[in-house]
Amino acid sequence: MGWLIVAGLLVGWGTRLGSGCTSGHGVCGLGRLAPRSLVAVLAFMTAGVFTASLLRHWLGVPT
Amino acid sequence: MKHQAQEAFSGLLAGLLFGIGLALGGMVDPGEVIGFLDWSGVWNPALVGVLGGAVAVSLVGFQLAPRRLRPWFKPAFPELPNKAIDRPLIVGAVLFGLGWGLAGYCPGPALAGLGLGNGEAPVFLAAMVAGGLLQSWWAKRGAAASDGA
Repeated sequence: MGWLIVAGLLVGWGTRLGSGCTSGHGVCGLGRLAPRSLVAVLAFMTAGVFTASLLRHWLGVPT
Repeated sequence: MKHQAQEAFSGLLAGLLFGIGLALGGMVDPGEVIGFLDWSGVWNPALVGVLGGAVAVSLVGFQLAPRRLRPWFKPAFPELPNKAIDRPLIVGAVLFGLGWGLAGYCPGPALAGLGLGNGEAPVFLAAMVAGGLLQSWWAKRGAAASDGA
């Protein structure tokens, strides 16, 4: 529950600051070939893979 | 009034299609998303097809629409912004990715999860809205401070 709230706060803050999410930058931004969206997708995919592969395990987040 | 109703209807239709796609594709299942992002064990590549397929379809739409098509309920398609790549974009995307990889939820699927009766979805969404509000409060606070300086 606690992790869910931390995750929600990060997603909310990040979506606002970065002007988009998986749908906005991922599906629509890449679809319209926007360079900003390609950068955003690379950044959030890297951070997402890092978190799910390493950080989650280090922190012991329950699945 | 007529146009507003038509726009609301097309929004409803698009949202319905989007939600069905997210549910069918498995994006609404955070376990599936974590399996896709977790490369430490056995990688689950299922979402590559979902995300890749979605981009392929939107690519056709975005390339075709402005050249060959007209919107149903508006005189023209909106002008889309093309801003420079800046720091907020990258910092925001990294923070987004941290949250996404932590719980396996992003905004669209979390909203669609509400419709599926997923009990985690309301908690995540409440925190997400709070995160967005906190960011705009923080940005205003920063702007006010630099005005005063």
